[in-house]
Amino acid sequence: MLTVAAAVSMVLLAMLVPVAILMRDLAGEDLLARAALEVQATESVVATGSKGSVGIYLERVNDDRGIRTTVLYPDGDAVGPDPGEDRRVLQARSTGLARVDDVDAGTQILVPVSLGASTASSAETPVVRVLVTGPGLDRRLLAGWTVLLVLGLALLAGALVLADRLGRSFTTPLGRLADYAGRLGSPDEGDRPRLPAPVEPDGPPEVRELALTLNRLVERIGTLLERERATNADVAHRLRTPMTALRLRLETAGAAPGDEERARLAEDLDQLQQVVDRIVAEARRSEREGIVAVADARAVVAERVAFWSSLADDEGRTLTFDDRLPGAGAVLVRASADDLAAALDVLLDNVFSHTPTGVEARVVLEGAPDDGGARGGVAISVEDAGPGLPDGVDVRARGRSGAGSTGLGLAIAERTAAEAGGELVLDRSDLGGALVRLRLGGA
Amino acid sequence: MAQLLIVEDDARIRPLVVRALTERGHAVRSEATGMAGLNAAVELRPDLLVLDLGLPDVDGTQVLSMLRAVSDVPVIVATARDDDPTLVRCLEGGADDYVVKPYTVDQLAARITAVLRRVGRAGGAASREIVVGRLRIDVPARQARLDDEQLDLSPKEFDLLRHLAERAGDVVTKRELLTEVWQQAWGGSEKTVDVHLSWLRRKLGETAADPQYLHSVRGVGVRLSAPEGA
Repeated sequence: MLTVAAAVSMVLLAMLVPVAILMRDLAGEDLLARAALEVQATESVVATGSKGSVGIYLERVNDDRGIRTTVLYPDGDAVGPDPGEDRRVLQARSTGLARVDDVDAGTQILVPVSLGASTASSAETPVVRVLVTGPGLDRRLLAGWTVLLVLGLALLAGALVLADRLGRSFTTPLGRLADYAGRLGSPDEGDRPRLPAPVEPDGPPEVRELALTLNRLVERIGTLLERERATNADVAHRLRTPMTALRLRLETAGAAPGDEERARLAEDLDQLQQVVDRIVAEARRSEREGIVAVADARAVVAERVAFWSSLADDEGRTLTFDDRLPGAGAVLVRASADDLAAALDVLLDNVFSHTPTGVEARVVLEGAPDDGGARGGVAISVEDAGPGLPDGVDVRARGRSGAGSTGLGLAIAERTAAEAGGELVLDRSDLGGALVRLRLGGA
Repeated sequence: MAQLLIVEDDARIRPLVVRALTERGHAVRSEATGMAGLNAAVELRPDLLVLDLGLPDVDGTQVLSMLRAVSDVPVIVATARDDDPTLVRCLEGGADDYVVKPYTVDQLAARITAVLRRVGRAGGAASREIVVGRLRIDVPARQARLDDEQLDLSPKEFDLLRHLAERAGDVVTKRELLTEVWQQAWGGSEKTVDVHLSWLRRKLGETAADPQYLHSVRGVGVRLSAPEGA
């Protein structure tokens, strides 16, 4: 808006200033031209009429502002508002030549009128003095400039209104598009992220084009997701079918290869299956997440705490959810609800598995101190009053044999945090035991 | 001993399953395609059909619906995807149970026995219920009732209850539950089982201190059995 005002003002200045100067010059010339006409008319009256008729004529004529006509007779008489002869009048009379001079009051035109036909004696030559005065010129100019100024201001206001209308015609449909784009991954449409219906193209052509492009993009993503779903089903089938064959073969092989050998094979197969399951689960990630992974951290944490509270009751623990974030609305983070729930389950499971029954536990949801990466992020801390973490816990160690391993399954939670633009931090709780904090980027 | 028909396209799995189930005393026939399976099911009138969903010629779900039009033979579907929406459709469309690949012979045999027992007890395929005391579990519909009151169970809670009910009276270890219900033979945490058991207990209206159906056996596992006098 400000830029429009500035631009229009500059254009107006560039146009109006020369126009104003031109107007002033034109007004001056116009006045001089009329003065010349006045001289001619007065000349003829002076040449043919008496002083009396000249006086009547001049009284009538001098109503006009800005031009005052006076006739100076050679006998010293003067008819009109500006009597008095000076050097210029005498010179005009004696030479018989008209002259134009700038005087204090404005511009003075002196025209000698020779009454003596061919003799042109100075005694028979009255001089017509036409005085074009400044004030008249100024007032007209002032009026003109005022009109110009009003016009300029009106143009400026009009330009601003137009710019606003034009801006609105862009911003309203653009706002709707942004709103639509924001809804693309929203978690509020059931358990699985769905693609919303195409947006109705609206507004100026460029915005329509954008809407159509966005629709095509969403449709394309939908197709890709569906194709991926089909591929994943195929991958799962292809990987798990031979696994089934292996397992069955191992089982039906009888005791022939020796029990030890068989147990080792079974163990290998278990590990292989673990890998396959992880691959299949990973391949299905986008199926779970849709276009944008986003979840309401507050809702997910509350739900998981409520879920584990049943076991906490049975074991005589107090498990509390300490929500330190302001407000009561959704707290969106960059992770799918499934992944976040799985990460929390791992952390809570650790508390139940590795602390004696009856030990207090707490889940804290708070704003994460922003250090760049996590915009509007949150931190979810799972704390307990147990013995604390064993020394040398390696977060990244993949839990090779599940619970009880040094990894504590933290790798899953760590990955969820990392993919949400955050991290997993191990610390000591003021409850006395372990603290595992998941920092997640905001969505 | 029962007459079984296996419809499985994979040439490695088919003979293995046939052999393993034969060793367990069943009479087993197998087919590699959906259409051949359909024909065999109609001609041979087996006691039970194990149907793979990923068949080359006709989709397993279609085979099932075609089969259901002419026969009420009990069907166990086998699938590679445990969260496949088609699995739910199959159960709604007339399958009696399912196994998820990779399954073991023990798992498959246990499912077969459980389904046959269910069918046999009610004297026909109409029965799909496991009954323990006043607890009735409709396996294909995935619904459970206690005293004719429907229980609001999560999918995992239902699977857990069902598995325990199929082995009613036996003590089942948490490790076995992790393997069978969570398909996590290698890992998983027993606390996961505990927390689900805790909810199941609540929903059955009992506590660990005053058990009715669910009895914890310290250090061993858990047992589902009808309360005395029920």
